[in-house]
Amino acid sequence: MHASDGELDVALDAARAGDGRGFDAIFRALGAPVAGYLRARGVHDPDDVANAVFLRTFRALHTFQGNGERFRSWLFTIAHHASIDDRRRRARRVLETDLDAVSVEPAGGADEVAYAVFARLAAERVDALLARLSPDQCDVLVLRIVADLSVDQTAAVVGKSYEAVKALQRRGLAALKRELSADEAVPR
Amino acid sequence: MSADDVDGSEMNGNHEIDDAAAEALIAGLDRDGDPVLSDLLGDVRTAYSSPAPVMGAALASFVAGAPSPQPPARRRITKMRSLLTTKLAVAVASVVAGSGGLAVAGALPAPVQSTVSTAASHVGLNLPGHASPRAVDVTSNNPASGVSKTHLFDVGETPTSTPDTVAPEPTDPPESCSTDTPDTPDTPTTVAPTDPSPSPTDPCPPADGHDGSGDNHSGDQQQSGDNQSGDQHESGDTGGSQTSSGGRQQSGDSGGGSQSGGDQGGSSQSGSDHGGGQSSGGQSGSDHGGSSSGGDQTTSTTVASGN
Repeated sequence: MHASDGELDVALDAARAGDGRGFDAIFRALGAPVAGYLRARGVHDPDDVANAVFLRTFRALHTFQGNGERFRSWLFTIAHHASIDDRRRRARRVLETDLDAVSVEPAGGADEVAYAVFARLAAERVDALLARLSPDQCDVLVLRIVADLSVDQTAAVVGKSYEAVKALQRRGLAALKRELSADEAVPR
Repeated sequence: MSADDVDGSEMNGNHEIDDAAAEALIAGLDRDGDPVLSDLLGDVRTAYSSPAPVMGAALASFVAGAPSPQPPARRRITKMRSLLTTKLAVAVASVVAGSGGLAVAGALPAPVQSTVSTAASHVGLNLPGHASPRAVDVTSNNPASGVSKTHLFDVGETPTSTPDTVAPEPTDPPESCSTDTPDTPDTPTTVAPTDPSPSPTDPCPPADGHDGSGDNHSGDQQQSGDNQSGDQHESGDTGGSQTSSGGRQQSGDSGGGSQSGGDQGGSSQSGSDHGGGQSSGGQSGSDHGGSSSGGDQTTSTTVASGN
């Protein structure tokens, strides 16, 4: 699903040359993981913030030096900071929710509704489990699993060393395993 | 690695995961080792996976425009260059304006002042300088200088009370002024008290300094003199106000004593209210003339040159 580094290199070269197709290719390749990462970080409107992240990235592309692998780290660093800004913004103001958007209208048959419900429950369960991790552990696991970044790229995004990231992901997974064991021990 | 990274309940139970197992779980390759945890990570991947977001209008217009990344760098260099040029121009302009103001006031050091005056005289500007003959000619052509002379000499008599405030400008060598002004014998007698630091090296910059303003100065005072000769009360009022204006001019000319010039004007007005007429105006002017005595003496020299 995610673009390979080779494809990203080609798109990056085209974008640097001012080719609009390069920008478009980058957005199509990395738009989904960026939006997913923003969603995992609790951003209220991930698509909107993802657009802002890409716009900021493209405008500053002339300052970037490196290949596709480094570009991916750079892009998610910008997304990481955008999620922090979004969290601070939401903490300062009352969030308005459109009631029409909240109302659930079954778009299809019963199977689709059931799938949507189960997906919703799974997402809530995932949210609850990730919320029990430390912020750094959660950041590292989301970047590794959702954004599909390597340990090096993750270290660049969160500003930690390679070994620190490996330790964080190890402990984060251990904490999840522990939480799962605790959930299984509780009679339902 | 810091102590914050370690969870407090981490050591409870055997939930340790090594790096290899962690990498396999994250990559989704270790379903046999820990299926529950592997399923959970699959749920994480599914829960937050989303289709590519719709490209917004701003981003779409940017991609459609696709500006080349190179021009911004060039633009930045050009902008920096223009900014530096602007800063340099502002700095030069401020230096020129500052030194120009000092040059007009005759407050520059004598060699610099004479150089500037000489240079300015080539372009038709009369600046106080080192015995600028052109400036002396202008002042000597002032027809009103004769009347103002007596008035200013009266002004100059009183500043003996404040000799410390005399600026270095009045240190004119009488000989350079006396060459143009036959009345200079009067001038030293009145100026001498106000001149505590006579340095003969200054070639009467006040005379040149009031070259332009001295005309107004003497003209105003000539009117006051006329009024004073007619009616002392009215002339006192008139003289006071005119002296105040003269004081402002002097302050402007002296460069450093604008406030003293204002005070001078105020005091001269108060003096005129007392009906002192000529003497009050003169005293008020002379009382504060110590601080801007360069102006007074300049005017007196101008008067002398006119005669």
